[in-house]
Amino acid sequence: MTVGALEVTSVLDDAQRQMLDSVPVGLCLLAADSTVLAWNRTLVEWTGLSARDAIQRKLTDLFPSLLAAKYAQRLAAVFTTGAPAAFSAALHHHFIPAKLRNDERLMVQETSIRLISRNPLQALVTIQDVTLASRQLECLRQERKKLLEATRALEVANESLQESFEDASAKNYQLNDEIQERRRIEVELREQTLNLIEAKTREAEHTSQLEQLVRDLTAARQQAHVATQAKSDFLANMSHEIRTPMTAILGYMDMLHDPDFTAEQRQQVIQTVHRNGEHLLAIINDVLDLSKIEAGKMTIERVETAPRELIRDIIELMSGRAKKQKLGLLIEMSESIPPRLLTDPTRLQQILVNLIGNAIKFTSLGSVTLSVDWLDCQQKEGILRIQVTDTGIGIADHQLKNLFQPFTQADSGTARQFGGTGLGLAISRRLAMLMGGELSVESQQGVGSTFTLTVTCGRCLNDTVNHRVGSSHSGPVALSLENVHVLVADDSPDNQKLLAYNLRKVGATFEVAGNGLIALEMIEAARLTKAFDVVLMDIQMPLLDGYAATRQLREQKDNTPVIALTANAMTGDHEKCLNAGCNDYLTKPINREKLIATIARWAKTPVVTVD
Amino acid sequence: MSDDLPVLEEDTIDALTELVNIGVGRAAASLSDLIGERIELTVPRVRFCRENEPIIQEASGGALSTTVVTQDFCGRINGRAALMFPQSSALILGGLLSGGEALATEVDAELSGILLEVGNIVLNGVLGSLSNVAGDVFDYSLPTLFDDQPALSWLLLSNDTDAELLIANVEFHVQHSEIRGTIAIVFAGGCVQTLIEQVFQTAS
Repeated sequence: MTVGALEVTSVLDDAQRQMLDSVPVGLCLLAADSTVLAWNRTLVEWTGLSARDAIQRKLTDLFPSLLAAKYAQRLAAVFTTGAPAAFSAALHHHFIPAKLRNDERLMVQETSIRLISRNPLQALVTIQDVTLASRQLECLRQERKKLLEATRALEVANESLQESFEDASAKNYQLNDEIQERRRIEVELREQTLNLIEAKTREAEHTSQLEQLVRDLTAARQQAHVATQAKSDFLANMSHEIRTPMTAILGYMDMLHDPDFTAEQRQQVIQTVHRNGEHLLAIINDVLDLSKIEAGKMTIERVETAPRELIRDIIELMSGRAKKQKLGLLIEMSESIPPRLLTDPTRLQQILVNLIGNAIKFTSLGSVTLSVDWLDCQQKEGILRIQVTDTGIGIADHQLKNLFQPFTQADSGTARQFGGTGLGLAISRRLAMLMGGELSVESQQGVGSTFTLTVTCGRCLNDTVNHRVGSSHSGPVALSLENVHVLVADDSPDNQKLLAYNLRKVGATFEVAGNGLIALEMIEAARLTKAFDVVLMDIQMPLLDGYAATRQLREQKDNTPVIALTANAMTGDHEKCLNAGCNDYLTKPINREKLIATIARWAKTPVVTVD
Repeated sequence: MSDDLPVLEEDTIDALTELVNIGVGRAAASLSDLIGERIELTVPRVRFCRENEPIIQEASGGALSTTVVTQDFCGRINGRAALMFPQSSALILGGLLSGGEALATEVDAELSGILLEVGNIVLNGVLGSLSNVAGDVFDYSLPTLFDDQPALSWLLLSNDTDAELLIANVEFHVQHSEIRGTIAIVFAGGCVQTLIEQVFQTAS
């Protein structure tokens, strides 16, 4: 026996023995009774058991674990059947316990036992160290296990996450729906809020309008109250103004019945009655004028007028009254005033007569001055400015604002003290406005007042002047209507007598008809004897009125001049007269001088002028 | 392989079946001792067939890949014995025998060792039974394991056109699991006849 080397049967030589010693596999040769016959170097290193200690000893004695049935039976079967035996690392871990170098753990081994000789029976045990591979496999399995667990955990987490996601998704959809719903509600709320705001705004506007309406109504009611009060005052005043002269007229007329009255007394009575009658007529004319203006029926003419001559005529008209009160009546006219203008001389005179009359009335000492100026504004028109300045009692500031209102004078006491209708300034201002101008006042109590009138006048292109107005001359014109044959057609016996008296006074001959029908018969009959020179035709007559009678006359080709006597002062009435065929018209109450002058103008018979 | 299959009588088939069962019975006892748990192995019937018959594919469980343990034997009767498992059965068997969780998804080194040992034990049992009946003493090769290979290519002996194939389905009963494998023994030409003669000679 060789110590430290593999001792086998003589079939192995030294080279084979050395080769087996160099193999990193444990090799052990066993006899049939498991006696160790050979023990290679690898086994010596693994077990720490030298060959000398192993050889000739039973393997089961060296390693009693091999006595277990799982080893013993299979090891025996190798010798009995000759079939090899394989022992896996997984099922056995090791065949022979061997510690690893620098490690307390045992080596993992895969072992095979194979019969290599039948005579004698010998089996070779081959042991492989698979510790590394086993550990690696174990690590791999651990890692795989971990991976599997992690995978499972991930799957669980994924499922959980998926569920959470689905929940979250469902909640998200739900939230989205809620958000959409809230947005819809928000939009609705916004719209409703806007509607509310608009409604509130409208309500506020309505409230504001209502408040304004209430204020306007209150103001209007106050104004109406003031106006009503003013109208009541006016009516009271007017009643007084009308009754006073009427009382004088009627009273003084009664006095004429007194047989003891002297001629001089009778003359005084007549003068008083005449004066009161004229005053009453002035009141009636003012009321009619104002009514016409308020009704929008006042027409303003635009005829060629010589302004300087007109102003002078007015001054001459008013000079008597000024002289009576020992007042100076002065005039200042600008050189720039054109010689002729287009304006309404009648209304201009009416305004100036009112202004100058007031100035004279309210001035006890000093003078009244008329200043006339021309403001050349445009090529076709200009403004005529007339200022009436007095040194009278003046007007208080609080009374100025109502001065141009109708039915109000400076105060109610003025009417009593100074008379007047209280309509003059209201009429004058409205006429000024209708004439494209204005009427204003500046005043200082105790010093005097200045009324400024402006009217818009057109420029004239030629020098011809039809100075129609001016017939309101101050002095009587003496005319004779001898040889003038007149027909008076009037249904009023009083008017018949009045006209007859006036005609007789100027030497005219006349006949009287009570209505238009009789007038036509008389005109026809007169053609055979002595035709009428002029017909004075009252308009309002029974059976056949003045219009119809004149139309029929003209249809008969009769051109006898017809002068209409009309009480109507409304616009259009005069045109109606002229359209019916009348040649001229006179407005009642008839002015005697106008009557005579108009008859004289239309009579064919030459008129004799009496010096 | 010869086109003429041996015409075996039922008695012969039964005798061979019994032979194989004796062998696997011994293997079962060894396996039971090995793992400390009862294992039963049964072989219902053996068959003889040619290499190209579908039974070969069926024997491998219809799987494309199998785990095969082979062990050659040599005597008056010689050939190659093989124990085949479909991979799924191999994994289950390996998990059951190792006593651990069946974590392997492939036949790794540890599983290969287990299957190799199981194959060694089963084939030793069957071949031992055959050798006893044949009155022959076999020389054996060490068991070899082939994984993930078509089984048939490893069964054929090279250039032996007379080889005959014995097929036996093996049922493993372990822990209420039933695992099926297949024992295939390729006999070199003329060996089957010799075997049969020996079987009946021994019986008589």
